[in-house]
Amino acid sequence: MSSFLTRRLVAACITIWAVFTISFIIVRAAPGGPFDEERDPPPDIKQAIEARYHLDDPLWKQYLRQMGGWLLLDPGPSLRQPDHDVGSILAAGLPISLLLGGLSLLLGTCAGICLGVLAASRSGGWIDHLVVLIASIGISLPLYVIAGIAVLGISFQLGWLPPAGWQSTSSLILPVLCLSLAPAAQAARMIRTSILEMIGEDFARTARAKGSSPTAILFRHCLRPALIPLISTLGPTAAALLTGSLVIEQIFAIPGVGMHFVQGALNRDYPLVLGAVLLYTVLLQLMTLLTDLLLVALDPRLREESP
Amino acid sequence: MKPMIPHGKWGSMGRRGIAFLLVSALLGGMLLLGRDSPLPGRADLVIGNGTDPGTLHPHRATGIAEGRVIRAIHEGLVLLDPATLQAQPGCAQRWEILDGGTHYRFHLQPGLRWSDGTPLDAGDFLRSWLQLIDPQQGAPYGDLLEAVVGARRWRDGSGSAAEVAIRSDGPLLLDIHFENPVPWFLYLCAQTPLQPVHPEAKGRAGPGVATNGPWIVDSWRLRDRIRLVTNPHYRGPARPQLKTIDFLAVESGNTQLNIFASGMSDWTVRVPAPAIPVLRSAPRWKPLWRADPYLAVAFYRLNLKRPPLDDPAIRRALSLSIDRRQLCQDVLGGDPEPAHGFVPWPAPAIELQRRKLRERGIDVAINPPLPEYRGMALTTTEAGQSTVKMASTIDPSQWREIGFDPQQARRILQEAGWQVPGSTEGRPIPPVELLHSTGGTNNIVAEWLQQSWRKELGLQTRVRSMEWRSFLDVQRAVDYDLSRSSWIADYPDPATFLTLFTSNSPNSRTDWSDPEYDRCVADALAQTESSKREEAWQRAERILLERGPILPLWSMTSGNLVASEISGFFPNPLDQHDLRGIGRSTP
Repeated sequence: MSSFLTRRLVAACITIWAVFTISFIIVRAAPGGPFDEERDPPPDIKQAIEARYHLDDPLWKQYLRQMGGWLLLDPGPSLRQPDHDVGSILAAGLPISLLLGGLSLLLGTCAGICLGVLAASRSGGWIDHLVVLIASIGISLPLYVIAGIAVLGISFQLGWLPPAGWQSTSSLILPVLCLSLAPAAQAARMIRTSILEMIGEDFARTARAKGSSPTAILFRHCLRPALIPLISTLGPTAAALLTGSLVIEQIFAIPGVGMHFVQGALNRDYPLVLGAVLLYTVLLQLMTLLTDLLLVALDPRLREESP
Repeated sequence: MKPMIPHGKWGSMGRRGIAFLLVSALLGGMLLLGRDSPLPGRADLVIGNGTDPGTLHPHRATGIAEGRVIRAIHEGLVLLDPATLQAQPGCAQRWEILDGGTHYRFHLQPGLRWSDGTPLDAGDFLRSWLQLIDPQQGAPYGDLLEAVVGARRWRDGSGSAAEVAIRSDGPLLLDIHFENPVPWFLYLCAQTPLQPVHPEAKGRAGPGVATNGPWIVDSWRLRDRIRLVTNPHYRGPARPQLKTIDFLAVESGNTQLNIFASGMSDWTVRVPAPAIPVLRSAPRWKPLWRADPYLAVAFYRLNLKRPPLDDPAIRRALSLSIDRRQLCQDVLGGDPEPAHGFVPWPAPAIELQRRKLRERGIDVAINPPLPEYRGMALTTTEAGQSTVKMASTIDPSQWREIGFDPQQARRILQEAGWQVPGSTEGRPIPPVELLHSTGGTNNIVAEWLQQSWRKELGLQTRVRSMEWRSFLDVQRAVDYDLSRSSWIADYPDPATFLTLFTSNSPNSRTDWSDPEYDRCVADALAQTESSKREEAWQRAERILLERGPILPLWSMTSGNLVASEISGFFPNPLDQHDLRGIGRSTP
């Protein structure tokens, strides 16, 4: 187990370094700079501003400085918001994104599993068709359409929830519901398909021959193996949800980290973009590892026989 | 089959326990982390301020969103009347303008204090302003004080700080000497860059850094809101009514609108363009929508070195075939007015704006943004001859149509040897590219121009949209045919517009240079007499319109949605609304 973890850790470090390096090259290749404005200051003043943030150094020096900063967990100030460190900007948004993404992931996955099981148990019936239809809508409708409809209907027509903001618990509900729709739809489709496959397997037939009830076969024998494909996709889904959603954060004015990926790039805020990318990469590595461990726990075929 | 992952001794109970622990830790951690310290209730005033401020340091801030917060937490030597923008006492209780407008002497009020209780005097203004000018500090708006004697030499490396003619003779007296008259200097004293900075700030700003305005920063929740509370050491002269103010950081205009519509904000500054026709006409919104003349102009920059734009006939024809009335009415929602000159909002446009407000049943006084300058307009005479004349001589009822004459445009092109629709004679006009940055109405305006020029002149154009900073990069390199631009006044004077295209301007971005234009601008800047100054500016604007690299399109309007409970909100051409005068009828 420990050698597995060591191997994964080394691989993760190499991946993170590669992502950092490629991201650095890409963001620095983009035209324009962080201090470009409609009204430019005189050229020598602009140089003084750039010198303050070492942007006049050779690129390799800036690369090493950035990497050293991140290794010491001190990446320095944001270029667009120089009153704040990149670390504190990400630290301010991360808990919010974790809360929002975590709740959406839990709600979406649980609801998706329930719907998938329900659809599989009523295969071919109207409930099955309804679940498949809802799942297709959940996957294919863009998030901004879903969020727009939710704001219009629930906030303005019914007046039940605030349309945006981050003031109270009630302001969490709409974004979590919208954000959980896609993972719920994905989970429902996967679970339904997997269970239908499992029902035809030998072990299910054996259980049926032994007199187990259809419900017992579904829950005791088919659900667990059916969860395996879903769990293997949970790592990337969780990393994407936990690092925030640009669309949801924009529509509901949520101060998470999702916006930094786009706004940081648009503002050429190099340290912030690199920080956001690093955060996503680290979370992705972590979630993939957790998923693998969960798969080991669930799938006996992945475990060695005890000595 | 070889196992993918080796395992430890995982019993069924152990696995469940670990899974339970993981999920519990995840949930608990999320709830604990996601809980932010709650704000104590709704603020007296909640402003949808657009983007999160980049910085609250007066020397480093460049944006409008930053300026709103900084002017609330700082107080300059003067304040501006919210309706007329006339200078009123701030930290200075009185001032004298001496030596033909080249020497300003400020008498500070005694007993001034920073929000940490330490005394504030003329030395703090002197130190702050020298820091602003200091080339090593790299303050983006340090050039606003370049006219101070010795400042330019210090900034270009040939002088030193000791030569800069800002002196404090005692704690209550501040003297500033300029190389030439700077009639807008009092206005500058109320602006963001000239606010005093605390000696201990050392480049920092935000919560915990002392300021001297009526409010201080209580908290700054990144990308959520900045909460201001009253400064216990502020003694006036202003008597602010609001105890707490929230500045919401909301990037999306639609979300800002939703927040305002649900009553969670009292004033919002960024409204999406498609909503404007509804806001102008729907009974619920009409009284709340404020689109007032804003000292800013929308235009296209032209690259005069690229054919066919190097031909004056083409440039003239392009301008004459734009129906600016239709553009303002149908494409831009009806609030802006056509621009035929580069200095926006001349008298006829202001009069039309007043009429529009009257038609909408809104009773507010609209003052001319530049009462001492009668701008110029590029127009056509009845005989079809184009000419530049003083805008104030044009009847307001004709203002919207004066620059539109497609027949005349085609005739000019034919005379210059170009091919026009319906004719086979002449050289075909090479296609041109319209470059604009993404966002706002830029794309729809470019497509409208494309259609107009194809219809009226048979001109083929390509529209190219670029992300903002890439666009600025291309514009700075003058690698375009026509590029969408706008210019917002730094201060209420024609100089803020007409110095933009001098040969040494860092923001011209056209490579255009005209010695006669440069002379007129230098002449205007040096004049001490206002009538001669106006004449020099008019000469400069005439040259810019006749030979310059611009295609003016419209005079811009501000856009504010203000709740009916809010009082003290006045239209003004710089869209600056001092929060010291704003109140709320119901808490």
